[in-house]
Amino acid sequence: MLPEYYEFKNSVKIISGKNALENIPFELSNLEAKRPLILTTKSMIRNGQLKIVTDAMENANIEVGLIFKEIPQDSSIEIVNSISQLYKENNCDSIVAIGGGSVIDTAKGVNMLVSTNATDLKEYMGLEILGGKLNPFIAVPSTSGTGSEATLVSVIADTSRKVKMEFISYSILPDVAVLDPRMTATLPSKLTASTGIDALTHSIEAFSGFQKNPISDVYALTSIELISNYLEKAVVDGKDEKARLAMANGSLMAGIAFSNSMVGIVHAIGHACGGVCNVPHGDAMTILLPHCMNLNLELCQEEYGRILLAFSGPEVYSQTPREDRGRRCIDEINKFINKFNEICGLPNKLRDVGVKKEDFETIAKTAINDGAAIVNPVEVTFDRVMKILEEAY
Amino acid sequence: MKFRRLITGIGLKFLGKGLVSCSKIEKAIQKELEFYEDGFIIELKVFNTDTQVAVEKVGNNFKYLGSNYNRAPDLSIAFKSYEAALMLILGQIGVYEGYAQHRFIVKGDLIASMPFIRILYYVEAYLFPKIISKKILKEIPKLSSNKIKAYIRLIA
Repeated sequence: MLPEYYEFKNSVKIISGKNALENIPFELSNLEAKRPLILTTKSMIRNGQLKIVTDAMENANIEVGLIFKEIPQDSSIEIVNSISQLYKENNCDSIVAIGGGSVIDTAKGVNMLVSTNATDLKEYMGLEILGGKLNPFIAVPSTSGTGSEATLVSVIADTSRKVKMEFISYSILPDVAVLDPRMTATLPSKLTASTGIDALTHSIEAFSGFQKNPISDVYALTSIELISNYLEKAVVDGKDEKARLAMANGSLMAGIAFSNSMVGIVHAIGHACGGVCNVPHGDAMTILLPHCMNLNLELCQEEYGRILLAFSGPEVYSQTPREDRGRRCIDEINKFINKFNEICGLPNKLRDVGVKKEDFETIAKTAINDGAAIVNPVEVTFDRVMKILEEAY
Repeated sequence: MKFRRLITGIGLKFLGKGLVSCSKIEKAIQKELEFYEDGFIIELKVFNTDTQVAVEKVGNNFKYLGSNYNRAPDLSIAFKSYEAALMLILGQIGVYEGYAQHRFIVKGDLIASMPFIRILYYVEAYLFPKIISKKILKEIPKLSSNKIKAYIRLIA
């Protein structure tokens, strides 16, 4: 059914598959960029992915302005400011971000600063504040989870004020997302599993929240199908290029889906667990997803039933009575998650990831102030979050 | 257009005064207000126009600032059009739905916008008749006072 009103945008060009990395110079030329700044991490150098890109640039006579490889785990305003300065000093005209969510988030922050006359990123803090066209920006994700290569969100920490600044703007979407199976080939199995569950959570929340729309639904369901079919293969054999590429696509599509339909309570509580107790994001998603789906079940019977079809296939779907499909969907997802607990030790209790019962109140207070709480089907209240934390403990 | 502008201006004034009156009687709103520093100013406006209203956090309550205020707001919620503002003011959509439908933009700290959005949720529960609240709110919140009191304070 069509919502009364919706908005959708995905302007990202997607290049996916064999030798996609080697096409980056062409994409830069296409964007009329001549001197890119490359943002990356040391692991991308160690594992050889950066060399593939720089060799391709050399072959195409594109001069790299600067390679910055000291991106920290969490993007901060200080690092964004100093990279922006380097961008200008080295006469760069575009950005290529090669790495995980923090590298891509940092690149989004840098692009906001170097493409505008702003002196302080704070000016653009908020929802749809920044408009206009930014400088050419290519994102090359090295994990299959955040979907940051296709999202309109960037979170950057202001360490001096001890706050996380959130920017939501269609303008910060990358121009091109490059998916190449070589990018994730060396990702450890546990990280592959937890980032994959993060992507699955993006799609489930995007499909069942009340900001859903028919276009993001298509991305969400296709992503769920890909993750269901390929995550285990990618975890068991990291060199399986087909599985790696399928996961990269699943994650990107989940990113497109939630970028337009938002996420919900799983992310609200997960972000809070990360902020208060440093729980890795993928672990929080893995632990919280089934409990939060239980909370939403009554209002999401139909959506979860449809997810069951994408996740478990037509046989399971048709053999399950209509009224049981929502519950069955949660059971199947629970089984799926538990399997990764056996294969690679993904945690399934909050107590196993450093959360203490005395942290619950702070987590709950933080969770209800997370923007993701707004579009969750069931109202996210302090008491309900506390109940979920108890159940997941 | 003049008529819409007029109605929206009156509606925003009504909403601003509603925020003040409800903040005086509803404990949940007072609890949400603890999030803000004293002097925190929140503005509701129509994008690119001077149709606007602001409230300031003072103690446990909101203080009405009206449409002429000198200090820059700490948080600004701007409806993309008069029509978008009217949909919310007239109870055709709730604040959560307004957010989901991108009917407004938010300038400032998004975390700080959350308690205010929940406050608006309570204000909607107070000011709209039940038949509308049931339609636009995810669930009717438990109110610590009654609607009549909110209206009396609003008119006074």
